[in-house]
Amino acid sequence: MSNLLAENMLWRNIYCNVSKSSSDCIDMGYSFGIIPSGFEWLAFILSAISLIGLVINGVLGGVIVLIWGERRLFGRFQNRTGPNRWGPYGILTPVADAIKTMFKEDILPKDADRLLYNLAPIMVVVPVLIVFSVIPFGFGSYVVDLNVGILFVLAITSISSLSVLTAGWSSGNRIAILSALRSVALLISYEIPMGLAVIGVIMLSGSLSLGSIVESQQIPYILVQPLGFFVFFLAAMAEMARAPFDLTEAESELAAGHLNDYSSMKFALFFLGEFMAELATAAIVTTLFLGGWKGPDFIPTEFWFGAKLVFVLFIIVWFRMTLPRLRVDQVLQFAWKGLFELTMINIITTAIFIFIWPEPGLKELLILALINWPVAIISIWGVSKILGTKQYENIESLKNENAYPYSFKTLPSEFYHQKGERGGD
Amino acid sequence: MIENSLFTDLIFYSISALIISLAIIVIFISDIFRAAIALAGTFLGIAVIYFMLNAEFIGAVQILVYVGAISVLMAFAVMFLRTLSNSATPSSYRPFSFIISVLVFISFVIGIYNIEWKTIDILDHSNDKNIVEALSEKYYELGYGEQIYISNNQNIDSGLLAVENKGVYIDSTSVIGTFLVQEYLLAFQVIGLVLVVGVVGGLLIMKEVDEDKTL
Amino acid sequence: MTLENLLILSAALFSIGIYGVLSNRNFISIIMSLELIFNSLVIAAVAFSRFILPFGILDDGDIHSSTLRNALSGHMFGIFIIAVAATEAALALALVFALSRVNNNLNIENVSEMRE
Repeated sequence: MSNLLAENMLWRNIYCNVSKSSSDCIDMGYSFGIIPSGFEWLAFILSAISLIGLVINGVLGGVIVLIWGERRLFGRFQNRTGPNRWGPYGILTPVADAIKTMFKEDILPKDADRLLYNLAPIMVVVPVLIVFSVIPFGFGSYVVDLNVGILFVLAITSISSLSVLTAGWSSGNRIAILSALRSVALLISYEIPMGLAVIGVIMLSGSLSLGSIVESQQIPYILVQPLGFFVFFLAAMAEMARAPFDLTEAESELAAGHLNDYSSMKFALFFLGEFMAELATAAIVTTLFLGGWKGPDFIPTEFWFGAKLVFVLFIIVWFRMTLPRLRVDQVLQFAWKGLFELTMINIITTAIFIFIWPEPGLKELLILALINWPVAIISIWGVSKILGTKQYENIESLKNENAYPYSFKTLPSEFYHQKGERGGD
Repeated sequence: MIENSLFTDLIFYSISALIISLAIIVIFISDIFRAAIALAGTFLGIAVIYFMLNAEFIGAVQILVYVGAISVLMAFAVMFLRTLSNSATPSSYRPFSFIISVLVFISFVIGIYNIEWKTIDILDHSNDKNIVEALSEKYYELGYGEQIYISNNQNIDSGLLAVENKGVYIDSTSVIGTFLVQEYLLAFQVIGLVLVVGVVGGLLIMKEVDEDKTL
Repeated sequence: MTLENLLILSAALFSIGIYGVLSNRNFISIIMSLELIFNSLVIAAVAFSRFILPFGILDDGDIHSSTLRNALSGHMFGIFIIAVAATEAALALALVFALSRVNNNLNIENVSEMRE
């Protein structure tokens, strides 16, 4: 307990203002508190609940700002104004959106599996919220510093494929199931390069804990690990099903995929989960590659974290607006034939470097940066040459039946001929 | 370090009840897709138990492998085979297998309560000050530094060194890392081989059988 | 949360898994029950490594570094069990697909045709 109070400043500020006469708090100069001694357990529970509430509400507030900012930016990118009616610069638009969605009719399809249909939106939101519990937002302000932090994040985000599958299955319609199958193929494929891209960072910092990874960054790891950053960023974009990888809900092909039977609050929860995933991705990229809360001392560390977060979010939105959607086979090829090799190159160069200098200082890291940037540029160029559009010059090859895996053609025939089964018409 | 208290006991009992009830649902429910989701819930509950046992690495691996991969694989299989998924009739050996499993459980319970486990709790209450001190010194020498935490505090009443919160806590992640490349290197390599063989074998089994060619 | 409690939990999961394996005919259900059994084993391994020190320590107070580190060998057992279970699940589901293609059914008793 005293250990926790010394390290976690966020926890200390909450707990010592709640509990009156904890000896650890008095040592640190806190004298005011509400709950008297003998009720430490009550103080513990109350402060834990308020800490969780603080983080969840912070995330929700961030989502509101994110929705607004993204829509304004979309407007700018498309040469129009964007939402500007509700509040100054349209900042209340997300609130209006939320109210509108809440008052829509809540539809339950006839063929739906009622329990799972209601469970799926919750399964989308909860894992993403858990991710925020391990992210260090500033010096000493985090909920918990797990010693397996980054592995925990990868593990928790992998639940999302299960929830998409549940949503697709329980809606009981064919398009939703098709979309779920596509989406799980995509999510599972991109988990592998995502996990491997992190390994370079883990080797350099020697720890899985996100707090130690931030503290070990003498220079931001994006300078040392350009390939790792490139792969992680793209894989994370795919994991949160954003354009150019938004096959899951491709409106023009699948009519919003697994979401197309959802309405009202359940749809809003899916939407919320998507935007929280965007926020979480930006936070993880900031923590791993941009130095987290580190920065010059003249402003508080939380603001550095926020500034980097906003920068990454801007890049994500830019990406989304600029690139067209990929086809299913292109997406899977990109993961297995492109990103996978790039991560392997990154791991090998970093491993050789660590073998020579087991505990790299600033000078060694700069040398690694000098080596890694040319390696990154050459290997990305090589992969893009191999995977580029050239192989599709021969249009005959596209008529081959196997050119489109996971399309309607290759599904088993039972998929089309059935009556009265759930998931039928 | 998670210390034993009423609070953790409460969490442990509720999580255990959740795990067992979900496992029973997995066995008895007729809709297989629901069973797959309940199975994922069971795995998540077990991961929570690992986190409570200070085995964070195993907990994370449990979520990554079981919830993120195996449950999804099951659900995927159910989706592809959904016209067949409820085609099997229940076995006629139900009473027989119920008796067998109850007997297995009873024998386990008898065994568990009849063995005198030499747990760390007993070690702590043996008032053997030397062992606890030697343990902490040894762990420090091993180079784990501050990650080692042997909880002990002075019991004022008896004047003896007594350990109130039981358990020796080692940061499991770093030790597992060294284990994988030192003591268990061969086993690690063999597991890698087994996984490769599994992937290749799975692909081979799944392949459409071509009438013209023999394998 | 004592060792006995954890072992009871493990035993309960194990016997539920045994019941599932014996009483089901559906191939996928049997694989699920097998996963429950594997999980109960991992729980027992991790519980032992949390609550029981290698007995070299208890004997004469002379502590060797290697025995002390082996306090976590239960975790290694857990990791290897998980890896094997993952391989097993993948292979078994591949078998399910192959068999359902032949039999058009998921009933495990049809597999006995392979005997001849």
